[in-house]
Amino acid sequence: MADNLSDSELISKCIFDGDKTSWEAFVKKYSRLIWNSIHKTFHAYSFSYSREDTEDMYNSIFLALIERDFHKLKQYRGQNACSVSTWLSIVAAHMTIDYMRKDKGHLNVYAGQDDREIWDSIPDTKYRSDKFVETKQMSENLKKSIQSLSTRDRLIYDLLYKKGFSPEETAETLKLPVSIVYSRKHRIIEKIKKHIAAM
Amino acid sequence: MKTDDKKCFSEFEMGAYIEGSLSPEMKEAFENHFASCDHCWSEFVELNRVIIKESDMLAGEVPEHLIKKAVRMFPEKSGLFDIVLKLVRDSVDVVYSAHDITAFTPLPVSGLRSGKIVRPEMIVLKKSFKDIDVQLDIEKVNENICNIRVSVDTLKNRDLIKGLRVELISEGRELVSVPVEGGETILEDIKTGRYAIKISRKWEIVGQISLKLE
Repeated sequence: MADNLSDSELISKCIFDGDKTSWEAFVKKYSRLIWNSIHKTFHAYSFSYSREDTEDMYNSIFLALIERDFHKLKQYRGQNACSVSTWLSIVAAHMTIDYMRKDKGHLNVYAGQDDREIWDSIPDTKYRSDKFVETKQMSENLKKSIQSLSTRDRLIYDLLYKKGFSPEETAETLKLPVSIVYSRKHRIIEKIKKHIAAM
Repeated sequence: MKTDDKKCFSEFEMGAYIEGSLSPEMKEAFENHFASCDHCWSEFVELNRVIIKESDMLAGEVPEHLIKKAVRMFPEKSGLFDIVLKLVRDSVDVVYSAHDITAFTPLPVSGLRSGKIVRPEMIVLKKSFKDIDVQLDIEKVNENICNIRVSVDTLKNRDLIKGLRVELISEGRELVSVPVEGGETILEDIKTGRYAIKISRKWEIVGQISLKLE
């Protein structure tokens, strides 16, 4: 019977009725998602983990949902929110990131690209040849050029050139069609070129 | 990027963006906020990298013993209501009350004209939380319906009761969500059933009472 309930009803039955059958249905429905979220987060940070790490995480996530009188589970609201599965994936990712921070001290976060790639894509600027000499002035000018971009272009720039995303990953992140990212990419470089040339 | 004092996004709002379920206007509001708030922007980019989609359930099946363990975690004695009330002919009776709830019936008063002693058909409940004290005055309208006055007070900084909202939830559905103007609000025509009254500040729950009306 618990299988036919909506996610909100299922959660409500766990919290307010103390209905163990609903909890069992909830655990079975979302176990795979949580299990996979943990693996994906460990992978994304190139974290070397054992099977025990994954099992520990899995246990702590389910425990966090129900401990202190369902403290975490009570935060979920059905309306004006994302789906339970997206929310649980976010909860699992956050907890896994915390675990890596606490347990192993440091995290392998983005190296970042220091805007290097954009300079390579601007072959005809006067800065290119003596790029190591005027680095400071260059980055000042580049900063100003970036500020002159539109909000969306600044975000696209950040993903493509600072975080080293592919246009496809950029499109997926910002929920934009890939074609838009390609055309904006071209425009962004043109704009920055023009802006810098005018300095 | 400059800092901006516009409010940051919650886990749920971030989730809605990632799901692609936001309206174009909301999406634009997000982009504007991202461009000025490094914290939300890097959090959002990180989440995108690790959020799970149907297509990347690559880690295989969950070991059966772990599922069983998670099922067993369920607290056996939970799920009791903080308070169970029964609306009877001439009063509101307490069927069950958790130890941290104070429940009392206001003293009988004498009617103004008749001088007759009238017992108010209501009950008052109090529960204290970390920052706030909540009082529910539950007044019977008839044997199926009551009105609930929710009052919020604090012995600490009065600012703690600013910007609070009261939500009435039943069976996972939000029936009412209202700001607590001047520390109190009245929920009218509440039928018998199972409810949770949540008091929250922004996205954070600062107090909650679960209630069953019979």
